[in-house]
Amino acid sequence: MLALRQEVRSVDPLLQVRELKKYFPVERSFLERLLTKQRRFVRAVDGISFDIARGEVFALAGESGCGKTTTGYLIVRLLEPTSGKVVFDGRDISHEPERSLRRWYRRRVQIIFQDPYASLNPRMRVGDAIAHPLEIHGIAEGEEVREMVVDMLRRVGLTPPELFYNKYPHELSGGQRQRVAIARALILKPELVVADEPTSALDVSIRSQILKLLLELKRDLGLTYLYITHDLATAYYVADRIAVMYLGKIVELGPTEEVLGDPLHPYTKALISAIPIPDPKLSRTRERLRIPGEPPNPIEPPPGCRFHPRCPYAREECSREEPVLQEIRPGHYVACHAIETRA
Amino acid sequence: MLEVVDLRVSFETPYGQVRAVDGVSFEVDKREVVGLVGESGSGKSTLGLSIIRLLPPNARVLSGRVLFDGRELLSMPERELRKIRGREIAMIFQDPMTTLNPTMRAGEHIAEALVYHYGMSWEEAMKVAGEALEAVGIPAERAMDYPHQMSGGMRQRVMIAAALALKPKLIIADEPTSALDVIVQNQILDLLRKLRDESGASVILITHDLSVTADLADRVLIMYAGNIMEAGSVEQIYYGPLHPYTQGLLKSIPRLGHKGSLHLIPGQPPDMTNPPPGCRFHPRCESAMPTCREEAPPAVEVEPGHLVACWLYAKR
Repeated sequence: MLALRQEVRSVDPLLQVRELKKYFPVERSFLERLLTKQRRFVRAVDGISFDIARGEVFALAGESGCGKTTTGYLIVRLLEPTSGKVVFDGRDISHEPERSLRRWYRRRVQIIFQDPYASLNPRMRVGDAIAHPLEIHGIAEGEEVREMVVDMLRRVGLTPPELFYNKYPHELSGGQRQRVAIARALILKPELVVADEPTSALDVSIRSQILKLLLELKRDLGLTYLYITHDLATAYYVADRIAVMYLGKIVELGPTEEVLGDPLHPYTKALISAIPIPDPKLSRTRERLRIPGEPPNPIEPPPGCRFHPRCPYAREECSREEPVLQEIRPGHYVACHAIETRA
Repeated sequence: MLEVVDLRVSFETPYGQVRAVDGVSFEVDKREVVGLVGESGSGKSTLGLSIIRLLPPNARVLSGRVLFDGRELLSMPERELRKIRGREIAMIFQDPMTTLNPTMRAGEHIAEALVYHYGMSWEEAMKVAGEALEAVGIPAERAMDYPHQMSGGMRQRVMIAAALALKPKLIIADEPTSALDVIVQNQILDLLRKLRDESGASVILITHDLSVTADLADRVLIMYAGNIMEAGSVEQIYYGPLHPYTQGLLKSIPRLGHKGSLHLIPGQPPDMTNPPPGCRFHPRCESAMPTCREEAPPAVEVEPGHLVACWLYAKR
């Protein structure tokens, strides 16, 4: 069983994800309910396994609808899995009740969302927003709270902190708001931080500021990141390892340098050759693997390999049999029939 | 073919007047793709909208001229302009869901414009619409689909098909691929290239992404806080950028294979109700000099076709 295969494990895993699935029921009309008993499901995440080692930056990459954000929500338990396991520091949290999660898990695992315009309460002052988690978890009171918040404001570069403490989100730019969201996530000194497209809503000149800040904070506070993104270039910059998802499945997983430098799965290759590069000559002359169409409907994914209808190398067996992740090189896994035979 | 001269556009907002476009001049030649690059608030979209006079009611053109094929668009009566919009100048927006009518089928959007501009019969127009959809990779039978039945990439193809069918001379594409995933983005850029090659139309490609213009543009204009900071051929901009802002932008884009530390531009774009005096980039500029705080730099042509507005290159 893939779920427990030796190779997908890492040495000192902080987080273990095993055969994780999340199916969302499709809403049916009254008539459909009368006509058929059969319910249909969006298979957002459909059996994925990976480990994240302590101190690692692990990227989960893919296009919209591939299930990367759902995976992040399952890990921070904003959603409950349909099946499979999420094991944090040796403890399975996949079905743990909210009351119990609140006692320990919600402190140790935090999330940063994509849109800093939507994730901050417009009526809460910046300082109060960052202090809020401390109060909820009863960690500090009074003057101590203020000191901790001021220290965190300084760490995320919102200086002078006394000035930013009393500001409202609308007085801040997008980049500054994302800094507040980061401060709020880190005030509890979590171990694992899920960063869901933390720079996608920001301008180019601000994006590199936030990426740099995230890496600095990781180093200073000893954090572990799950970095969720559609942008392979930023993943290359921040991540130690990367998993590429397509339609609810991981198609390739391994060290970032290797997966993005020498991709093996045709989908990863197509993704990489589609990344625009700020170099006109290179951009216009490089060889590209162009693939047609768009990802299909996750309600009825194609049989066999889900990528086969768009794959230039697809053969007969690809439409019949689903490929499993195979270790092609040490720590580098690929789910593709064409690769298996080559190896 | 298109000439914009000293255009100034302002917005009335509750916080005061915002000079979104502040003295911008440029030209677009026949068959040329001009990339208009800037971050949010740089005025790039306002500039695009003011060319075809689709500005919101709180905006006002303070001065300037827009000459299209010798005709001045800013002073033209609305009735006359309507014949140009769509037929001679087409606009493609970032989110086609908000520009397509949800109660109209994909093909009808194209057919309606053909009937209006070319006086075709409805049957004939629907046939041409089907052909245009085929040309952008959408099966003709999907002409009967409604926008909600299509993916984001397909909706953007419908917009391009419309541009294809109407054979405009100029296409203004405002962030046409920003809402799309990279593979579909690539497909759309390929289509725009094909459209230019086959119809000979000129394109103004408005984007925040210097990588997108690298792939498609002949010339690039870099906008910041309502001004054009630098303009030149793609080679000049990407291989010999002069303005500190352009240089910083190019260095701050993460690239595959470049692991080293990322450059960053400190600070953030200015509050446009109260922009900094002098050069608007000076508070974030590593090369800022006292002059930069006092007076805005003029645009200087450093080499043929390569203009830069920066005191490092201008004499006072």
